[in-house]
Amino acid sequence: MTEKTGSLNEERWFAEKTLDYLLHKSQVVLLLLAPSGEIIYANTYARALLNRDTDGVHISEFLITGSWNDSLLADWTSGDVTPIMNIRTHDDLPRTLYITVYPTDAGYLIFGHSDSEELHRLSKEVLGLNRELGILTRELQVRNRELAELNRMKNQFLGMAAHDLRSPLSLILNYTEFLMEDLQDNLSDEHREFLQTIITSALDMKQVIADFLDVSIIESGHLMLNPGPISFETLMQELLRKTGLSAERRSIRITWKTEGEMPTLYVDVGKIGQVLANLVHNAIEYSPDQGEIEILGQRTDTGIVFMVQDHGSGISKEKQDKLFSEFSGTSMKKKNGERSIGLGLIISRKIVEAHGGSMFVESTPDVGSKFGFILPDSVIWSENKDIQIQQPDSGKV
Amino acid sequence: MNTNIPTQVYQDYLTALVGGDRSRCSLIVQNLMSSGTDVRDIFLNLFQRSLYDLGELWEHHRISVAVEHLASAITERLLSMVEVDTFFTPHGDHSVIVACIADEFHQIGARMVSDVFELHGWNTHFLGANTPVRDLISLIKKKSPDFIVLSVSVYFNIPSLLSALTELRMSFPSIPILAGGQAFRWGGVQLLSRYENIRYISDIDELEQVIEAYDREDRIA
Repeated sequence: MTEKTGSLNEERWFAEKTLDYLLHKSQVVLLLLAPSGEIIYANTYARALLNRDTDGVHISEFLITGSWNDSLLADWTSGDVTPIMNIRTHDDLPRTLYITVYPTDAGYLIFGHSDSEELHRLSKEVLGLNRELGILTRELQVRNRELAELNRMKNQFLGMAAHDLRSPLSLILNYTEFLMEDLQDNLSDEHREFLQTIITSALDMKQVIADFLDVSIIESGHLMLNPGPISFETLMQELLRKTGLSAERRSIRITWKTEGEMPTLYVDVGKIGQVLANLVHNAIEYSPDQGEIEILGQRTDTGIVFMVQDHGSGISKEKQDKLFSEFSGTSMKKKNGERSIGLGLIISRKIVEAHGGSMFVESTPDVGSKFGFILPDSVIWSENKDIQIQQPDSGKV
Repeated sequence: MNTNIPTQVYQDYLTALVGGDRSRCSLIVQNLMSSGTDVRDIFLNLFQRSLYDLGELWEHHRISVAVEHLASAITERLLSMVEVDTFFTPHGDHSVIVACIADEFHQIGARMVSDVFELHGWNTHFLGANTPVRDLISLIKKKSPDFIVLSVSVYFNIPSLLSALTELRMSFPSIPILAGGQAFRWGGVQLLSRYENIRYISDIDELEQVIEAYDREDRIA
């Protein structure tokens, strides 16, 4: 429909069009308030913005919470400040309207609008910040790539260094043992003790090097699991065979028990055995002489639980949080005063995670510690079992 | 470049982008990534194509500034998502500095150019929008890049580009400079011939050819 063309000289036509635009089409808020603040009229834009029936509703209902006071209307008309009305809109976001308020006999006539320049400045700033964020995110990803590369190099170095240290260490061990055997009749007790100390230290060092190699292999994503069936009892017998001698030397008693029927497991027997031996060796190291260590196997709703409990010195809460993190600087003091670099727990964590499980620790200083792990039901053995082995991500700790 | 992105997927993406629907756009990109779509395909036939289409709508007064700005912001966010895969290409020793000249605020094209270098295993230094020449010169001195890339999207910024080129050529006469961007749609390529060792790059395919040729020559040398 085409409207008849009007003329700006026709005062009535001009007034009608202006009013129609103002009341129904513009993005100017127009409100007519009673002297007490109730809304008598709201134009189309005001109703859309407030998104509810406005007739008879007090203006305070639409202002941001806590901003109404009885002198507000008077303040708006005082001319002392540029009047601003902060309202709650249909999308629950506050919006600022710059208002002009005319007091009338019937109340107040209010015109309000957003400051488009202010919004433009805001938009420009937000866009600028977004661009900066994009650059920073990109920079972060470049750094992540560089860190992953450094981590790969570190693992490679660790593996190479450990590998190269193994041969000379074997020579030290072998020749020291030859000396012990060949000179046994000619050695004084003191010299025999010297050689024994060399052997013990070399064996400790051999274990550290083996741990380095394990970490290097695991971190480079080359940990391979060879699963097979094994019963809990067999695991325990093998564990006691491996750890019994160390416990005997300190007169520490190791016992084990089960709660619930323990199923046959389908795991990498050597590696799970390594985890259990690591936990028991740690328990021995941190237990007092003549102490007791209990091993528990438990079938629960969440999986198969293995737990090793000691009554040693315990670990503070802040150290517990870092125990399973690589090179976190959390070295533990053993019973004999030596410090352990703690790679055993990291290796254990990786092995358990590769089986789909997780490690846990509960400890109270001066009372003792419970270290253990939970394996999922997917490691329960059945005929033709083929479990999915989850390889740890390379470079992630 | 041929695309594996179905027309309907592109249309859905464009509709979501015009509507400012960040989640929908993100989902479409995620689906494309999980279905193995090449990153270059996403760059060219989703991000670049949609921004060009949006630019056309904007030029014909069919969309507002706000819609265009929001679409750019969403695209930047999605770039960050896709870049995770881009950055893990094995890297060599080559490096490049990519920047938009002063007063040029459109940085998405330049960012995609940086990412293409990353895909080729280059070490990139992306300076983004509105880079003052002195900052650029300072970083070039520090990094000694194999290439400098300058992007300009708005035709009226070409004089600023020329002035930057004059300064860069005085300070670094031998480092190759690549220049490109939407601004050259309206002409101005011939102005680059005033300078030594500067090449206009018309699109990503040409850029990849230049990178590959440089890598090849370096291997032979």
